[in-house]
Amino acid sequence: MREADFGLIDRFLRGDGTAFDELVRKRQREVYNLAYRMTRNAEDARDVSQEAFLQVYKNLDRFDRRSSFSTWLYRIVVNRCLNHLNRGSRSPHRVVDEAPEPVDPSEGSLGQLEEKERQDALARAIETLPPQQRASLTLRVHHQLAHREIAEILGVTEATAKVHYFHAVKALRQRLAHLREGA
Amino acid sequence: MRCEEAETRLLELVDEELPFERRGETLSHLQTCTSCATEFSAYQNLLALVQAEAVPEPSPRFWEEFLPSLKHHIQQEAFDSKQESTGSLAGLRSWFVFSRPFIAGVAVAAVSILIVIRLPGFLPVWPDRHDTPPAREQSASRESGNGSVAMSPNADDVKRRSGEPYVLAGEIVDDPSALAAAIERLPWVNEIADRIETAWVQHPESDPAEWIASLSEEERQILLDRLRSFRWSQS
Repeated sequence: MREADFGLIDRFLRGDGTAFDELVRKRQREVYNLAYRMTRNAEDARDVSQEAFLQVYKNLDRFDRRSSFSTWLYRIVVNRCLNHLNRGSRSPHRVVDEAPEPVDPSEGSLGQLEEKERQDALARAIETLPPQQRASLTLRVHHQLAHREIAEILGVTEATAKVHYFHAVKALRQRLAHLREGA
Repeated sequence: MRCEEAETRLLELVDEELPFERRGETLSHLQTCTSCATEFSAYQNLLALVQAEAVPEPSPRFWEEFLPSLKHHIQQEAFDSKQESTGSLAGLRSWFVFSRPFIAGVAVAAVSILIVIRLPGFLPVWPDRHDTPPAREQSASRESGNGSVAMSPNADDVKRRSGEPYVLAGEIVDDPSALAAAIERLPWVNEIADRIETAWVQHPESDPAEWIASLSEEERQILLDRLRSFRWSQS
């Protein structure tokens, strides 16, 4: 993966514009997902993703390759998200151009409702997390990054990145205690 | 192992970050302690729930438009930065274009003042029409006869207005707007304005008066010749 990214970057820096297209197509979903999980809003996620790739395009020649491309890319995305959150983002959950959720009116709908409630409660709990904790949680759980990499992305020490993550998990556990008891 | 100690290790255990030597004894504790085992299980379930949280899938059209939209932004950005890089220059140029009569006015007025102050007697200064040389009046009359309205200084005008008049090519001018309009009609004024503009573009902090003062002797002579031959007329 790392070598493949560097290969695309080399091609781009040699003037092959299609290499950047490939890089975007390859990474667009994970960038969008990370941005969505951070901003909790589809429009913000789209804007942040576009801004992040624009920044990548402008600064790719300055990427020193001391870290993996994904770490560098995630750092850009997370910083964009943090800026976005600091500026005051849109309301969470407002989704534009989203594929419609399939509605299942079958007998199992009670279980689905419970699951939906659980997911909504989780979403609300995640929204209350401070941005750095939210980033640590997302990068750890959804992107399976090591705390060392998360620290690099957030620009903090590894110990601090771990603390952010553990605080996030503990906070969620506390806020979702009623679900645990009810389950 | 006490429960308090085990609890501090549960998250690291779930996260698979617990060092090997502590892992064994913590797992042993969980086998014997229902409370800690329940807590451990709760963390596992919570993280499974977090992991299962899906991002709403945008429509296929969203992804179709993602790269083209990004490319559009990139092009726009490139265009904007190009504009920006020339923007200050362009802004300056547009300012100069807009204010060229003013610049020219300042330039010529400054030169005229220079002439009056530094070269007394080089060009006559007429505070009153009575001192105007006859040749000048004839010239003005000729022009008037040719269909253009001579704007040679009028004694009444001079008397009517107060303040220090401008002296331009031997003519008394006390209306700056008329001066600027007249200067605009000078055939060489654009050239002078271009040169001043170039000087200001290169050195925006410079004072036009300084630039005029920095003219070479030859350039100054050309300017003086121009001023001397200037006929202030209104067609």
